[in-house]
Amino acid sequence: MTKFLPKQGWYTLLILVLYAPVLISVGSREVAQLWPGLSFVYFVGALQVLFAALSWLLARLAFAPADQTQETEGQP
Amino acid sequence: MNLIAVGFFVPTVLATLLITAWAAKRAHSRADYYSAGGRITGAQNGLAVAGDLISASTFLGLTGMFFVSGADMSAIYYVTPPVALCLLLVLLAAPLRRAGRYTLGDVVVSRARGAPLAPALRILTGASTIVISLLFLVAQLVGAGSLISLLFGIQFPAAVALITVLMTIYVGFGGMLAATWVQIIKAGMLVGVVIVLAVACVVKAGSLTAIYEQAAAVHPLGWGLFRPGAEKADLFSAVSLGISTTVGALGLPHLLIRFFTVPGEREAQQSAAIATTIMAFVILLLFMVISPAAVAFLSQSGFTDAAGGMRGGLNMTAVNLSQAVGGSVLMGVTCAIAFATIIAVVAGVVMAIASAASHDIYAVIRTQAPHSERAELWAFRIATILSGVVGLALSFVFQHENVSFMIALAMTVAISANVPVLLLTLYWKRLTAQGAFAGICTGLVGSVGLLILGPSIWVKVLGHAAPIFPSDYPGLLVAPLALAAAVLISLTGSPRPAVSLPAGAAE
Repeated sequence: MTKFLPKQGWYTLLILVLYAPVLISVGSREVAQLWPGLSFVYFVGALQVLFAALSWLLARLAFAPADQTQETEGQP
Repeated sequence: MNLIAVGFFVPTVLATLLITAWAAKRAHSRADYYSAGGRITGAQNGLAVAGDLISASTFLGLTGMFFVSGADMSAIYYVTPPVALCLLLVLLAAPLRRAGRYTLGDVVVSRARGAPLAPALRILTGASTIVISLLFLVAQLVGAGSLISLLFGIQFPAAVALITVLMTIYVGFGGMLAATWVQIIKAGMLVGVVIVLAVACVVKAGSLTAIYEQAAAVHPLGWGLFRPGAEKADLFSAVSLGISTTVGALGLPHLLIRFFTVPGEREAQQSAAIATTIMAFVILLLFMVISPAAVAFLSQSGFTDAAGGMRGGLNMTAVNLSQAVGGSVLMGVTCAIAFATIIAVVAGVVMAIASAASHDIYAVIRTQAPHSERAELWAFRIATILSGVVGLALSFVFQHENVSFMIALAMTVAISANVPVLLLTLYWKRLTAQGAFAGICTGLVGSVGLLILGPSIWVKVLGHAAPIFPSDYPGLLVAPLALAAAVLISLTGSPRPAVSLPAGAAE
């Protein structure tokens, strides 16, 4: 998989996919009808927790020092 | 004048001045001034980065936005910072720390060292940093001046002059060490007051559910307050705004130079992770407790004027809420922390301007003549004073401009001029000095040019009948153009092997 897209690319896609429902919901009345009132607020709150957890996981696991040489190949 | 607020404000200012005196004793070299000697830990820098993003517009502005339009739109502003920090962790934190030392100019020229165009590229990067940071600084000063004149009952010019003098002292004497510790202390205080405010709101209402029910009962939108799509946003505006504020944050110089203050890449990543956690926690409380509580407690309770607007303006929503749930003492603490929030953020922005002016422009211009580190530090101090003076003058000129629009201008130039070339520098081997130069030029000239030709400047400021460019937010158009220009010029220009540099060895 990392040959097709570097690991940074997959994580970036994951973050943007998580973020997309908020962007689309806020701007689309049709999609907004799917959210019954308070559940949207809880969804946004859950996303905050998810992003915090994701950043900890990435910092502790995915970008360990031993992995950095391979991950940042091609950098100055 | 609110004497309780002043009572908390004076010790806050004294504490920040003591920090500056402490930092000034420890700052001797260029590294001390520009990057706090690289001795800030990951946790400390995480707090400082979070503090940079939790500006007055987050704490005060978004609570006011929720008060009017509910979850719609404000949800984007609330989710954006953790998303931007996650992207920063994944894409920039470690490589940025490895490639740079003091400024973004270090990073951009790291691949072009030795190329004939390298000095010009460094000057251009410095100019781009100054333009973006100056836009951001003026927006903060205008917002801060209005807010402080309301909080403490003083005139706008006196309020802006007070902030300018303080930020010049912090940066000019204490450099990055003082700016960082002021930001760390402020971030800690802000997290504390947000927790106290949220707990006080829940205690007053009895439960979180009671807050929501009361808010829905008194707001014109009813339960639509918590639903997206309730107000006027359209799909394009929502996506465009969301992407611009998220990706634009990756090009803000005052945020990025914080990653040069830590010892290594691991600490840079820790900083981003800790900042994300702090941001997520603070935003969780602001979005889910404090903002709905402001609707519940402040509507129809003496905190609104005859027309239903917020007393003192929407930016006073959080301050009024603190008085409603905690009395004058909590209000005084909140005012003092709002002030600390403003001065900490503007100090960081001035730091970015002064370091770009002295390290990326002055040092390169003086390359032909012998210049010492001492001379560059004097240039840094003079640049600090000049940025204060220019910021002060521009804040009078733009006193009546919309602050959110000015922040959006800074984000637009950042996403256009900085982000494409920064990402290509870090991730594309074939980028050349010519390509980077073309990319920044296209982004900087294109974004500033289209902003001038857009409705807000061409029509409202310059008085023409119709805008030449139809939108005020050209970032989504110019950023891909800048990327394309950098790639095309790199591919078609004379091939030059990339220079691999060890960590922190950029010029």
